[in-house]
Amino acid sequence: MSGSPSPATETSERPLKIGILSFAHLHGLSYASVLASRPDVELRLADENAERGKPIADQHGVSFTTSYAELLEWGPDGVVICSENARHRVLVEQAAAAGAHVLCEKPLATSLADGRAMIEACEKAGVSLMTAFPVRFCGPVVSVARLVRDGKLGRIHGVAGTNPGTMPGGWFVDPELAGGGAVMDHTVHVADLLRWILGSEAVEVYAQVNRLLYPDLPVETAGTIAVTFENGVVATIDCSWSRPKSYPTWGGVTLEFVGDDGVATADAFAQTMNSYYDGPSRSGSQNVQWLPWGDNADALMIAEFLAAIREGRQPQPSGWDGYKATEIAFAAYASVKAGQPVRLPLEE
Amino acid sequence: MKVKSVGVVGLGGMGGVHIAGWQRLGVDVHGYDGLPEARARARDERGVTVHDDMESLLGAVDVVDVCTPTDAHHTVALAGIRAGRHVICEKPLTRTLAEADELIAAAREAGVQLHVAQVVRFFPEYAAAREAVVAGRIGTPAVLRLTREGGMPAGDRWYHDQARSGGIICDVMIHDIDFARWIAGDVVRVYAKTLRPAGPQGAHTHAYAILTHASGAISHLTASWARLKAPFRTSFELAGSEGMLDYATDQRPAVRTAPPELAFAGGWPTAEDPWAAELREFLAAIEDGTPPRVGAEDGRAALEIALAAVESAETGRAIELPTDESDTNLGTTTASAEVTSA
Repeated sequence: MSGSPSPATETSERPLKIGILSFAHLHGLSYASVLASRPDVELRLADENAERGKPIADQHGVSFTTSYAELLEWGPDGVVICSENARHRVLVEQAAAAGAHVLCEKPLATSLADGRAMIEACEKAGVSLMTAFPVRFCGPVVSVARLVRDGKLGRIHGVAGTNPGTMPGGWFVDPELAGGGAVMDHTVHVADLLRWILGSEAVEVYAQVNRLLYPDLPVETAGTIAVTFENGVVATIDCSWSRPKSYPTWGGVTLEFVGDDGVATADAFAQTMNSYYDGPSRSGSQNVQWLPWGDNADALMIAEFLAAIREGRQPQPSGWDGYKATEIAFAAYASVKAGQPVRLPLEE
Repeated sequence: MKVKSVGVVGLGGMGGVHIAGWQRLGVDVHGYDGLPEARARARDERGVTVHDDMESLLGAVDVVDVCTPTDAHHTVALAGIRAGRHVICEKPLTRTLAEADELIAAAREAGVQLHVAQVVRFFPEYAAAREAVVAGRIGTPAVLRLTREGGMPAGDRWYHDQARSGGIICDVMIHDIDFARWIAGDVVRVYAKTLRPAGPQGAHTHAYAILTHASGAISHLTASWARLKAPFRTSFELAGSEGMLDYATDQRPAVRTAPPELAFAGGWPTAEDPWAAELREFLAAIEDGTPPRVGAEDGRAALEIALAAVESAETGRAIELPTDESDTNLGTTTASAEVTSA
């Protein structure tokens, strides 16, 4: 499996103690599966909602508690935080105080002040903070990132990015807990990839949003953003919850780079086959899906988190990367309000 | 009236496409071009009755079909209108909004028809998407993504000259601007970026635009001449309150060949190509008064949005467009009417 440890550095060492704090974000399910499958990890789970967390612990045969403090008293080497966006800060601060390295689900925080406080708490405690941007580890993205940075397209001028998805429901559509709607949920992956691949920071953001999809929700459900980078590149991001439930997969991430010498598109989740399923005797309901066969990006991301802990280095992408990606989302909201582009960096 | 002959003005690439379309429709084709060699080629290779000046052409035809570079549309179309001829004009309708207004007013005054060849509405996949939207397959349109990407226009042609063509936004993106309006209605705000200077005149060869429709729908448009040595492609994604439609010309090739350029060697893969379909509909409008699916006012509206996008790209600001409140439901109301009549 792609997430297996490298034997030379790791077999002689004790397993790393890793905890997962909260399963409010569904990505926690995948992280639990990855961590539970690794022989070099001792896993424990905590969730204030036992109904949500306990079955996951039982499935993997690992210990479970409803008390985050209790899990942290165990002295984990690292924790993965999958609480609601607005509750990242309190758990990151608790984990840092307990001396645990932190992998925090995206978006890092629902305000710049919270993001800054999380980074400072980890610095002060001498632990590292990583932001969960698994798309950096998707094969097609890694491949296009390399060709762009090797200059194969010449100078880059424009990038069209998309991260559409299905409407996630639950706390994701609660402005207090999520910090916003589709813009908060689906801007940061592409924003992070752009910063990382272009090696430049955003200086201006323009955005338009609407609530025509799911008009009864209290948050924006669609948005399109244009980001101008310091190096002159203009990128756009579609963060809409535009995929119907009948779409053959959850959504996706695409990036089209346009340079002087060529164009290259990465479709991060296109490594799929078409599946058509009618059930036993072909008499059930019809189901069409795109079944993935590419690398497990979550496993590769977690391997980086664990390797960085063992090697005593900062994992990538960092907390700062998480902070700068959310800044682009916050700027999008500011632009919507102004009806015009806004300049970055934003005031905290 | 029965149209017996049409005069194609401008015998370059687009003129050739229109000539072929008219010939398939059984209409007698006359032609004029300022370049004698273009006239000779149309006569010798396509059997067109060519004229040495506009006067002579105008005297010989029922309809004038303007296929010149964009900056000449106004002069040629106006000459046709003033001679009492119905006029069909390639997109963009004109180079400036004032010219468009003058043409529309002149045609009304002269009692002749003025049509604009926004051909995307006649591409079967785009027409089918529109019908699906009207039939309720996506509910209320919310987010549109439209792309149109090809290589550089050959040589040092007028396309590269912003002053003459209006650049990539007025020449290429205007197709999707018109389609976005057809799907989601009038546009009230435009933000655009033009990028990647290249070619003989250092013109921008790549552009993005974000359109905000009166309904609140958002359209993201990409137009490009940066797709080097690769097939031209277009795509649309139309997401609405109930569903979504998506399509890309390269998603599932209906004809697959090696080498790839053989793909169209067997002819257009539908019974009628979009240009012939478009000319047939304009012909019906002129002969029977059947309204076509696109009017000169639509061409003017697309141009207005395109010019606002150019202004946005030049100023870095989002540009607000004047709205006519009675038009806010244009997208849906005209939708049903046009589809039933089409």
